[in-house]
Amino acid sequence: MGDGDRIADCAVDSIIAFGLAGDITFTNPAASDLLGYSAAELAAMTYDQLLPGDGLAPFAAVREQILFEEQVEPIQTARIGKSGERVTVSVQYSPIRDDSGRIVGVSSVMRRLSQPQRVADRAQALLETAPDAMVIVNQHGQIVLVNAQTEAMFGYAKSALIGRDVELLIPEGAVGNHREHRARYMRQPRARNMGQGMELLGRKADGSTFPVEISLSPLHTEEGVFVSAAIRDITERKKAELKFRALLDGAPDAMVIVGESGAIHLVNAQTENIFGYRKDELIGQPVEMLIPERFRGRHTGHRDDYFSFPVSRPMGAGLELAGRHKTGSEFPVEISLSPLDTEEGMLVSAAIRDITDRKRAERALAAYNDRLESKNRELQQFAYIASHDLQEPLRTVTNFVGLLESDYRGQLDEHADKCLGFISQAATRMSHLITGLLEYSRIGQNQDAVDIDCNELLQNVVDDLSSMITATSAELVAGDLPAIRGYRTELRQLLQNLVTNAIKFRCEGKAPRIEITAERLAGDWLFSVADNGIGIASEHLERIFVIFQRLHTRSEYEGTGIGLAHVKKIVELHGGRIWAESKPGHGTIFYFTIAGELP
Amino acid sequence: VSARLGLVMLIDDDEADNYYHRMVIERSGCADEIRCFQRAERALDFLDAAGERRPDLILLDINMPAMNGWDFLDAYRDLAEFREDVVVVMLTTSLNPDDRARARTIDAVADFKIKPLDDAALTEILAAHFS
Repeated sequence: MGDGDRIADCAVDSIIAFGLAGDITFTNPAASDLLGYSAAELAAMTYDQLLPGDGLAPFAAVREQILFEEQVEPIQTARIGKSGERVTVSVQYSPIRDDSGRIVGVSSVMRRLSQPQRVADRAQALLETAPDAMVIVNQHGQIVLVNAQTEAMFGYAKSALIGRDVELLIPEGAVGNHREHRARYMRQPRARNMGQGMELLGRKADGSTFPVEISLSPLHTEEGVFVSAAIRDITERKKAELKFRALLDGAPDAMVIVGESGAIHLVNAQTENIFGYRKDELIGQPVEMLIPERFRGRHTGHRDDYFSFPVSRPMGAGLELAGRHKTGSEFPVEISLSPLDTEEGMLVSAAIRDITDRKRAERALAAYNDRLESKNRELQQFAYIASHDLQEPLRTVTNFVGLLESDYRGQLDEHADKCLGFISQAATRMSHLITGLLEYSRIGQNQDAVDIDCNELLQNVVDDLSSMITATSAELVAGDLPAIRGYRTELRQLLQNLVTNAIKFRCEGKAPRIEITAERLAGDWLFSVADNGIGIASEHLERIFVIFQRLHTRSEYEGTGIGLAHVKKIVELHGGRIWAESKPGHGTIFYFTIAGELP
Repeated sequence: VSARLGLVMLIDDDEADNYYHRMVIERSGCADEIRCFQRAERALDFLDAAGERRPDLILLDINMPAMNGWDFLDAYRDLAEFREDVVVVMLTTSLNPDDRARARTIDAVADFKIKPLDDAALTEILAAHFS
């Protein structure tokens, strides 16, 4: 027996050679072992009888390759043994040449693929499709399989991991605990997340660590139990979480996040400030601990209702809500609720604002308002009484000066006449002032707003002023004026004062021309009253609206200095404002607005 | 009253007040000449053109149409040559303490009196500023 035969006889691999027609020409003992046929039986067969149905086509292709003298790689395929059993094998085909180099046959060297080998191959393919780093360890904690994601995540080549303890991937501080945990897991392996509620870290080849989330599942095989660990790098999620926490702590309100059971999941720094508890005193506790005892019973019901219909909304609209401080003291709060859909299920975030200061301010404001109202009533009463009581002695003065003037004018000297004149004028003026003051204080009192056609209103004013208009040859031009809601007497007074002013302060020798327009301005009405009169110097444009302010001496223009103050108060009563633009010598335009909705 | 004043200026929009104050001063016989101005602008024009005829005393109202007493003082401050030897007394019906406080902050204002100017008030002014 030559060396070659001995090698073939002792080989573990099965060797079968066949001629180009497929007739088997050589077999070794390992081939008989693999397929269950004796050497003699095999010698009487053709090679394709050993192939399964689905193996015929690949075989034909390989044979062709060999005849074309192409290099052939080992392939995985199957053979059918004598008992009909399918045997998975790896096959290397090689050509057999004669001395002249002609191909005369083909040799096939077959190796049975073991079960684990096949599982491993399939598992490897599966592992590579997983998004997470997948690490499979045997019961001794040795890494037997990793995927490409593991290499990328931990910075090791696959070859540097296979066979090593899995603790290589764990920060040194945690290694001891991990060994214990692993041993416990192996005794009772089941699919679960590792270290629930704990912050897990992975360790890279360079020693740096990063936060991970790991889920474990056992793999039961003939070779025993393996454990597959799916490892996810949660650095980004942790960052987002930190950002969320920073946001939460930056919020001006106390934020309390509650689960469906009513247990507090998360609170921010402001919650500690407002309620006086530390975070760790709150987490896991029922949220009712932040509520005054008398409301607690009802609150659990409300809470259940909310979870069954969770929408963002203020809590207990229209109700006075109270929070309970750790010390037991209560304080008014305002709460808005929003549902949070999270991995931990439905949570509710409550934004709680301590409104103690606002309530105090509100009370102060209400008290102030009451005082103001009563003062206002007092003042109005005062103006009324004062004007009445002042008019009486004034009338006496007027009456008797009038008497003196009519009985003695010309009989005394010029000086006396002048003095009487001053007294009489002053008394008349005082009477006007008192009346004006009274009217001013009464603007907007005891009246209801009505719908007013401004065209009609202006016509009334024109009728009232007809003698003045005729006397001065004044021309009034009005655009189409709107119907507005307001106080009729006051608005009539407003138009009348502006028109009267326009005529009164006319340029000498020029007939007054007054143009009135109105236009819509963002829901309000903008009116303008333009004249061609003497105008107002720009430095006086503000002062003209102040009561008793006059720009002219009485000998130039009569007046009390109340007219424009009246106008301003009327405009303000209608939620508007008034201003003027003017060019001295050319005229003035008064603008005023009337609110679309009265205040 | 021993002091003798040259020109006294009365600046007040109220004709009756001017008339009355002129009468009081005339009767006291303390002034050579009294000029009344119903508009502060006119008074300012007069001062601007006064030259040698500068007044010894100016009685100034606060509430006046157009240019009021304060406006007048602003403009008056620019006429620096008058500030030294002209006595400006604010003469007003104003009972507003703010006005009095404000007058105190203005250098050019020597005194603050409530209307009407009667013999007693005039005597006080003369004693305080012209003796």
